[in-house]
Amino acid sequence: MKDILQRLEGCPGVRGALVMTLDGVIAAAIPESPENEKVAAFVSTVLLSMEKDAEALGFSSFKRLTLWAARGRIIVVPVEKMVLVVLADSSTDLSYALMEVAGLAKGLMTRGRITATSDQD
Amino acid sequence: MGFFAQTRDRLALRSKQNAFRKRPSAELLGDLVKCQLRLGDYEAAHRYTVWGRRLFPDSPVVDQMYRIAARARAEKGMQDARRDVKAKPTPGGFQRLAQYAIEISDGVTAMAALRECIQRFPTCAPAYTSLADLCERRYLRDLSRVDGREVLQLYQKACKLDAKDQQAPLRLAQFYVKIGALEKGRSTVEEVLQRDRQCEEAHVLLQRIAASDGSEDDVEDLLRQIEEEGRLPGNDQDTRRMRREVSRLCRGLKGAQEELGANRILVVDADGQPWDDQGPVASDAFVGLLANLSSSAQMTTRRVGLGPLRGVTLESGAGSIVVRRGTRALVGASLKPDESILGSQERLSELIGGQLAEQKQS
Repeated sequence: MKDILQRLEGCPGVRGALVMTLDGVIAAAIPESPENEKVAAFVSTVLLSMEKDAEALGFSSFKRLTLWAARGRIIVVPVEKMVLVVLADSSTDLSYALMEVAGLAKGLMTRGRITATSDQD
Repeated sequence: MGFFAQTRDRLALRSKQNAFRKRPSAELLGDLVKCQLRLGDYEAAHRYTVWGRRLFPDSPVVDQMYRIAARARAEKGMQDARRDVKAKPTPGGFQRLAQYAIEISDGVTAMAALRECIQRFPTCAPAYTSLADLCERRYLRDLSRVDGREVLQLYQKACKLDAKDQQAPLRLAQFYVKIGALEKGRSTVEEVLQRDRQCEEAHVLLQRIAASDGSEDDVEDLLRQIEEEGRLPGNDQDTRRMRREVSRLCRGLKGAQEELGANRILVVDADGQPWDDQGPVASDAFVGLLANLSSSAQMTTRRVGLGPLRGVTLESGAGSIVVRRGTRALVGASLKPDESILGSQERLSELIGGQLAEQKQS
């Protein structure tokens, strides 16, 4: 999974990325940093906060969630039962890179390798 | 700078000074200051520009020379202070370094210098006050609970270390008032007044506290609330501002809805009340989603160091939701599945900024 995330590492505008479960447990992250735990925990809070109302409105299976902030953005893309979180600058178009990485991660998870690793953890 | 050029400047300096004293003008001052800067006499250049600004308050030349001289002086001051603390670290040296760094808006260096000062000299009260000031500026920008806690701890420590100092407790009291902890603010001011009944600043602050509303004094709770709402506790004036903002946003809703091709578009004020262009409406799942998403996203971006939240976009097969935050209210739109979200944040940002309403009116 880390190899897949590393495809994002050289992308212009990308500051970091991680794959986590919906409740904030990190499966892989680039670069390794204690800050990742914080990002995962807060993104998980956002996902939980919208869960009920989004379901009522039919938005529960979302394609992408973007938080635009003064000094950058957080992009959340669901990948099977996990989510890919990317910290990026405010302007660079990352659609193609995200699609590629999410697709590869999805393929890997469908084959069951990630689930097996997470279960062992 | 070559030797001959320097000698020429040195010789010219006195005549430039005399000429300026005889017939002060912005042009002569600019000429004199340039000469002083070339000679490396940044202190004198700064002094002259400060004087010049008083003489010619509307001169752009003097203003520009003042900025150049102040920056040169601060950079030189930082160099000297760095050299001093390297040779012999003293609290004064670190504080000088921080002060010059603040003058050129280098908050990172200033904070690092003050943190090192505190680490080496844990009883240096002024360093705690200065660091608390810097943290307070960051807190007022980001409203992060962690920064708020640090501001309080630093001011409290400064008060404890120097019981005679009035500035630290007054700044602490002002901070309590800013976050709405009025009782704590009042008791801190009263402690200052017990030591000095004449302290004018304390009397003014006490009057301000008496004129404010609020009884909540659980600081942790207040900091959490501020972080979630993304604004400091307000007063009547703030409520009026919120109403004005909501009414301005509501006027532009129809236009924004047409431009975005939105199913639904709403304004949600800071109290959680939803509004459309006709007036207040009842809360439902859409409003709940806007409010929850906005407050949790706000907390997230602040806490991960990305600063205040500007907006949120949620894309799904059933359509998209676009949220944009204003100062005291947010606008949320629900777009149809076939509508593109490209440019939607910018559109709502224009609505928040007031351009859309103005365009429609014109």
